[in-house]
Amino acid sequence: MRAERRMPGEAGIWLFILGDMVVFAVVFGVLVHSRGQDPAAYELGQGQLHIGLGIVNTVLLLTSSLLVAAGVRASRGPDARQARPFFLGAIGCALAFAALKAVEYTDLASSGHGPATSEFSQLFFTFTGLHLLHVAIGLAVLGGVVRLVRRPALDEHDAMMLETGASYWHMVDLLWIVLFALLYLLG
Amino acid sequence: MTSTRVQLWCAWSGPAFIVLFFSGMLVASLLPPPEPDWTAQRTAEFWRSDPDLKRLGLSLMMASTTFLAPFGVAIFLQLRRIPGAIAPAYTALAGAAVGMVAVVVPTIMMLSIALRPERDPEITQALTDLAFIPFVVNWPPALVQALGLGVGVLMDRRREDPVLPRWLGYYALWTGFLFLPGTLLVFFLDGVWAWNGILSFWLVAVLFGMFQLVVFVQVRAAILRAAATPTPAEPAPEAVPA
Repeated sequence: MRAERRMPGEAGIWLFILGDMVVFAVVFGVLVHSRGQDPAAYELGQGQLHIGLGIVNTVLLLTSSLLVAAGVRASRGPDARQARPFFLGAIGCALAFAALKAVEYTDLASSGHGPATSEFSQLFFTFTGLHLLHVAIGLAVLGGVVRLVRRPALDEHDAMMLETGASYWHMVDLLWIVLFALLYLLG
Repeated sequence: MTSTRVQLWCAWSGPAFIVLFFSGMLVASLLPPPEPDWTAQRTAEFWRSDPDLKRLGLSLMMASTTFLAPFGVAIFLQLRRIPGAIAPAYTALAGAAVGMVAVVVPTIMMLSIALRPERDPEITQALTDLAFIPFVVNWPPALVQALGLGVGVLMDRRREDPVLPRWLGYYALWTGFLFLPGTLLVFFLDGVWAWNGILSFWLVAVLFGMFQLVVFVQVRAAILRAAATPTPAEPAPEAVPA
């Protein structure tokens, strides 16, 4: 039965994921449009960001996605509990991501580049904030996944919920990669 | 069956609300809405043009909210059929009830603006802020209703014949969360997050309208399915095969 299924997780989560991607497509469009209107101002705003923090955050999320994928694989093994450390590691990465974002926000705001100082900073704070809200929801989802792998064997429903949670987390990662490219790198 | 027919009427209240509400907004020329960064003078001119049409459109919007109550009940009655989903069912009902108020109150405020558009523009501008911030930022009741619906639907673990399809649960959660960022409008007078912005206003207006219609279609189908089942016996939660 499992081998027949092509789509990971529940079909419904893909509605959520694709819907969210449509909304973020609007967000990305707004960024590209804003840069097109005034490339110099966009570049100026970009110059105030710490690209190092952005890169570390990207690596953190990519690592978390890798851990989640490894966790899903481990959960299908003889003892699903072996998936636990992978998911806990992913939660650790997500917490580190949120902590670095807090450092970045505080630093930008205290050096006079707060959300209201330019159009770029307005978009930077609100769009990364919107993404951070996704990370927060993702933390709750990963917490639920950790609870699922308390037992050595998962029933079909739990296995599906685990894949559903993992799919959501990969989306959070994917959205950040595009956001990172548009905010920090687009030159 | 009488009960089925009454429930179907309640379900049809959803599209009735959407049609009447958005027609009212068009008649009152609130699409696009007045802009938050207009001067007081410009805001006053907006309310002074076609004041009777504005009063009429706003009255239609107010009338449309009456449909929210029966629609909320139609959703509630289906959620209540899901084994174990009593708490989310009542949560959704509470959200629907307060949601009606969340639309009525800002509409009444706009009616107050429209009553005396010749007043001091500064006052009209203040009243416009007072009306539009709650009008666009009224996410808590909508989120509560969406969460109640989403959680309730996802509690239905039966693969065969769930009361409402599981994807509707994810769709409800997604829509609910997307109402949240509207809060940002209190920080900005222009741009994508302002009360007339693409993300705070247009996206939410489209999602909200779409949500009501999708929920209507599914609730209507669920009512018909229940009516077609001869014995509405409480289905025992089946053991999911391992």
